[in-house]
Amino acid sequence: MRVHQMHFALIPGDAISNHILDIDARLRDWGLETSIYAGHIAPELASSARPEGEYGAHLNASEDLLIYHYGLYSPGIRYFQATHARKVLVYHNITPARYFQGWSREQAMLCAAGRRALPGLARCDMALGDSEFNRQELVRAGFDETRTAVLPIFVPRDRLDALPVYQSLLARLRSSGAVNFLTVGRIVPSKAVEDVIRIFAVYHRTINPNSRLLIVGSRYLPHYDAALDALVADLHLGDVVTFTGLVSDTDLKTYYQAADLYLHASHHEGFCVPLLESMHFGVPILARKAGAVPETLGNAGLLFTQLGYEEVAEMGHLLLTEEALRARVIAMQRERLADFAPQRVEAKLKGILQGLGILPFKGGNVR
Amino acid sequence: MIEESPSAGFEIEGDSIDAEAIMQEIRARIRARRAEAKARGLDWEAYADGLYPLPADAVLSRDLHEAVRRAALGYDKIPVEMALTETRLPLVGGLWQRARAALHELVLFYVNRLAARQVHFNEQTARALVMLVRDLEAEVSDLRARISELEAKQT
Repeated sequence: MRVHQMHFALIPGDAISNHILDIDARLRDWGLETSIYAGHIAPELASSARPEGEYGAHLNASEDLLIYHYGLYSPGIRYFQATHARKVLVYHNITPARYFQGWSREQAMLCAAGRRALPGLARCDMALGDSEFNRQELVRAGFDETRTAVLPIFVPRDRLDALPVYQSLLARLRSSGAVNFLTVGRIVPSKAVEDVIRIFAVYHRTINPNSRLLIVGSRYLPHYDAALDALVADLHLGDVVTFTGLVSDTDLKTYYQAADLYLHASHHEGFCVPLLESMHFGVPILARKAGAVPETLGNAGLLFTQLGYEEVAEMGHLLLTEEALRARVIAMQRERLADFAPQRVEAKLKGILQGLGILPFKGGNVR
Repeated sequence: MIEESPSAGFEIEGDSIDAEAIMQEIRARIRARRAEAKARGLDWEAYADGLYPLPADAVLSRDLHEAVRRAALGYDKIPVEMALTETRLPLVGGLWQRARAALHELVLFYVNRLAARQVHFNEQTARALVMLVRDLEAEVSDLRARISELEAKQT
């Protein structure tokens, strides 16, 4: 009996890819034979996964388990639909197509196709959402509610702590005592990066000119990128706003350590790993109340429900300067982070696999 | 740029955090900043945008710069949101409202697709305007410099 995981891509720095690898490590610790398949495998991870076509050899292995991670439409879903193995769908949410309309026809089509295909994946043994928000989408798509559950994404805190810090970058970011705003995530319209820029613009111009905005994340939508670059230029923020692009884990840790405030204006999130990373690095969070963000934050961080740039900028300033408020928010974030401790997520995963008969209820290991 | 948008609502959790006091503090600070800007004779919006004052070497009129700036800021304020009135129909009111909402969603879907294309065009047009103004200013500055040079030679 083997446990296979499949996703459309395995890419370094991608939250879902990291989650797959973390699950794989735990499955192996529990004595299970595992494999990972992906439609696209980054060269750095070539030794960790196989091309998804190779799963075809296991289609009839009814004693196996296939865990399919679904976050974007991929032709690979046909393996999930065709397999005779036991099946678990892990739904990481698909951005509604409307956020890409006018920016990327291809992405809009992929998102629309992905959401249209979701009900067709309902025939499975179990469907998991990263969050209750995602689980509810599964139920609305026709999944049997009694066979759904929530499995948060692993946030590998030990691995984050073990990473080095890029000292020269940190020194540069900390030089001149500038206040650093940070936002992390793919640079896509659903994440409303333009609102982050506008909020920062008000802060920078009217409250504290000794400030900087760091926007960390991959850029791959040329029209949206051009619009954001133009916005930065129009607001004369070219010297203080930095788009880093995709960065290494070391650089990412460095940016978190240099950050004084994490600002998140996304319209749609299925879980939002950067929120947990910010909590881990003790960066206070100011975020738009949308999607799964309030669920992930719990009662930690500060949420804004309507967008008034002045008010949000002023709230950011309070978080940066009122020590009691800042300390309280950071403390609440740390308490919330404990709910996502790897041991707790591991226990949930184990419980799910025990319920499916993949793992025994006592002893824990297969061997 | 400062939107003419309603004040931000915040959700602040935690027993030891007085959310209302924080909101009052925020509003007071904003009033103070706007008053300070006004006392300094500044246009608050332009000040917050970082576009105040006019560039030192601006040669075309302030009104033109302002008009171009507003075009550049407002190019994407197009998409439409649902505005569904309540129905008072008895018995079938709920069903009728759901049907109306579905119809409105359908119309909005196509309207906003068109709006997205319009935004794209507006963005290109606004960009062209900004570039035109900049090029014109450079041209005018250059011509004025040459005229000054020629006049100096004549005298």
